Amino acid sequence: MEILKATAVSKVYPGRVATQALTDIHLSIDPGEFVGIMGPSGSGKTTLLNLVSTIDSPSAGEIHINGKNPHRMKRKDLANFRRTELGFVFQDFNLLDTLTVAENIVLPLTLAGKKLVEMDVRLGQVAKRLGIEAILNKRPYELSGGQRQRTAIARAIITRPSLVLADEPTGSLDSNSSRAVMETLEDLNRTDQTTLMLVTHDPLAASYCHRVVFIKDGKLAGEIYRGESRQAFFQNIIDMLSFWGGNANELSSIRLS
Amino acid sequence: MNFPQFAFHNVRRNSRAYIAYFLSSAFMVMIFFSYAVFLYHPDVAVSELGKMSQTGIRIAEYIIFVFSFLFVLYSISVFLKARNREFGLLTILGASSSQLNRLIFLENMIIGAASIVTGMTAGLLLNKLFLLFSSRFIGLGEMPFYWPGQAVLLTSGAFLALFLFLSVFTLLFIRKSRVLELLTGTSRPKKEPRASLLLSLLTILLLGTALYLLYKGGFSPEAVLAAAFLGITGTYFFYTQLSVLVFRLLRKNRRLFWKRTNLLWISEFAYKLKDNARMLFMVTVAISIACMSIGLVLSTRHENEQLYRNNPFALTFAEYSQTEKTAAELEEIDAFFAKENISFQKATVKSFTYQIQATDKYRYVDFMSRSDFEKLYPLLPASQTDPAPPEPSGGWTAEKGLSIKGSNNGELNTSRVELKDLSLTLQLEEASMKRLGGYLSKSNTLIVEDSVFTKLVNLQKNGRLQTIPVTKYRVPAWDNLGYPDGDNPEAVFNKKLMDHWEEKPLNPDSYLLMRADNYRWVKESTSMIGFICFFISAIFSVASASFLYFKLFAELARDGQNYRSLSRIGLSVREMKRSVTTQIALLFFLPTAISTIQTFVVLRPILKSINIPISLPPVLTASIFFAAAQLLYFLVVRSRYVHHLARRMERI
Repeated sequence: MEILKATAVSKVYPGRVATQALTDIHLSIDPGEFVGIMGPSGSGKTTLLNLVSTIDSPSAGEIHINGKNPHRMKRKDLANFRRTELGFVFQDFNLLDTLTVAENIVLPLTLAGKKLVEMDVRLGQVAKRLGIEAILNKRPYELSGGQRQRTAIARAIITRPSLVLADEPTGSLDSNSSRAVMETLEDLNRTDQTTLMLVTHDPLAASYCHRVVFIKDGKLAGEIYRGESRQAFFQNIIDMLSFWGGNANELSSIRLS
Repeated sequence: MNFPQFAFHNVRRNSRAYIAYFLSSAFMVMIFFSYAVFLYHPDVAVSELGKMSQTGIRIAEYIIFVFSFLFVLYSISVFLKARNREFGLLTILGASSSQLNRLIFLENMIIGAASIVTGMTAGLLLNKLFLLFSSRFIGLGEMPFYWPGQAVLLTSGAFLALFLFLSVFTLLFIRKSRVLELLTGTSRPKKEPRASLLLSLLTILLLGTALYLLYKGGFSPEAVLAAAFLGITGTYFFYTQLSVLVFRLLRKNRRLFWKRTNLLWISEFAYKLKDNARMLFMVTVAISIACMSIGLVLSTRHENEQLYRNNPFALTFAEYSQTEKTAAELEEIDAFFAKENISFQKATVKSFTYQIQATDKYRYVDFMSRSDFEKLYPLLPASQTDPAPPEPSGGWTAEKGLSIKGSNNGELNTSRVELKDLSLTLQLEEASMKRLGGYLSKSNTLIVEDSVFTKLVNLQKNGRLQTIPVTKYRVPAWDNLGYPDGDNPEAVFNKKLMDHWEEKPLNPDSYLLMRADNYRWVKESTSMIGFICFFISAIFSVASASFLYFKLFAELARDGQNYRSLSRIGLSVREMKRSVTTQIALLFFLPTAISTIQTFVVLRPILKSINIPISLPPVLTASIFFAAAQLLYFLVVRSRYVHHLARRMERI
């Protein structure tokens, strides 16, 4: 069964000038898949992400996550649903400066009222998994961008969610940190079968995915699968972007390494 | 849009940030103005009490002004710091520093002028109410409304000068830092609050020593002053060090800390505590002082009322040496009663003061003969239900007697008293105040058989002490009329009698004590202090709420962002509310709670030293008032804050 299944999803923002943000989106993500969503600014990527992350609801169509429709839930259950089924990685990390790294990571578990022993065990596991054991007692502002993003990833996966949503996770990082973070995500996906959905501008980051879905003007514009070589996939993505985007300015964010 | 318009729009559109500051400034202006209206009231200067109140109010005006100065200074500097980003932006857009200065100056003056106008308008509207309240509270006659020209001039002049000065003065605060610093200003991460273990231990030591001085050391003014100093210093370190340390220790206890929203609020609150420590300290001290003064005033009044209620004798006339003049004065009093058509009972009894050893202490007590006591008994309220005067069990003998507690030294045990001069040991039974319906005098009175009394008197013939005839008056019509305030018949009579003796002073051998006059004197002198304390502390309480409001809303943007991302990782609005409410409640109620404890701890020994039994209601009244006021601010601030956060959490 699919982890994510979006059927005929549309989103209209009402207002003086109604905006059609998404039109008839069909998308499904299987367990263990690593899917990238790409598209130019204003294409509806973020809207799609918001719908999947349950903080916004579709105007038409249905979204099922792990077989459940979160948009039919009560608000109270919704918070719980996010806590258990979804993990988030943000562009600007969104770590709390008032907490240490360890505390930031266990935060979702404490909110769920888990036992201290269990939290310790899981914290130990994810910290080891992401190689951040040495910085557990530091504060987020003492860390490099890459370390911060790995902390955020640890926080996202500590609840063992069905789906991890990453919103431009490399957007605030330099190229080395970007690579490290993407390799971490790729490794999580490969070894632990974590299902990932990545929204990004960055073709290099997208090249770590199994499959990249392109959105343009709120519609699905294309889809490409990765073959054996990441290098070739990267080239495909760039070709696709220039084909669908068509404008030179879309290439400005490309970093060749 | 010209420049003043720009400044005006800035203020108008930032109203959420400015509203608390504006309202508290206006409140201060209003109180200052109301006091000024009272100060310049044509009726006030006329009376003696009015003159005394004028001095008190003048002092209050100074305090309010100095406090307003500090408040405005602090508020403006905090506002400027919070707006660094905006100034950075304006600089990028090409605003020169003189233009920025003009903008800030204009904005401050707009708010200042608006709060002066609002404060005075509110003061004028409430003028009548305030005069009514203050004249009632102090005990002056009704004061009519008047057009307070002088008060308007004084208030507007003083506060205009204050805002003008501070608007210019605070410009010096804005360091013309690099634009980048201004732009990133408040978003830089804050250092973790740290506390020194040594200073925290010092806090405990300071507070402990203050307690020790109050409770163990002989109760001297020096000890009280030292205790006050230590206590205030201790309170300062309590907020800046000890409490921070406590929260650090709380974080160490993971079983508690890593539990639900505790993780959120404890970590956030440690920062809020450290940020606001100085302010919380000031508020605590202010509220404590206010609570203590009000507690002292109310306790004194309470005691005063008790004294009045328990004194069955309206008048007490003592003759230190009996002469024709004193006899004439006695007759004059009787005649005065007759003229006013008031029936009374009177009895003249003799008593004298003598030092006895009762159980372990030496004490002066009054002695009275059995026959005098029986003469006095019909005047006591108890005689109405039980016409037979009390006597020792088994009847009167030379060795037996009664002991009646005085209003002042209640704790003296006089069950067995040895009279060495007579080689006689008295067995005394207590005839309690409740049983008699009132006190006979301030000190304990021992009733003995006439023969013993005569022997004691004879012993003293050559000595220092002598018997003093005391005539006590009771007016049955004045029983159960309540306290002699306003047009209570006893108060009216008392005033007439006072005026009478004013014209023709009593001769030096006689002493007339009027219970209504005693009552009035204590009440008037304490109510003035209470009146002033009440409003000054109200200002402190409002100002503290305003500070907290502003501090919270200055950080709303950052908190909002945090809670928004927390909401994505599964924080429900309810959990956010719990976390936020705990924090805001602590900020608002911590000072009041600590002040209440301080008030209670400090007032106990002080009241004991001036022989006022501690009773909870008067001591806690002020604290309850403050807690109620804080509760009101808390509810308002919490609902607004939670509303904003919830909106941010749900907004996409």
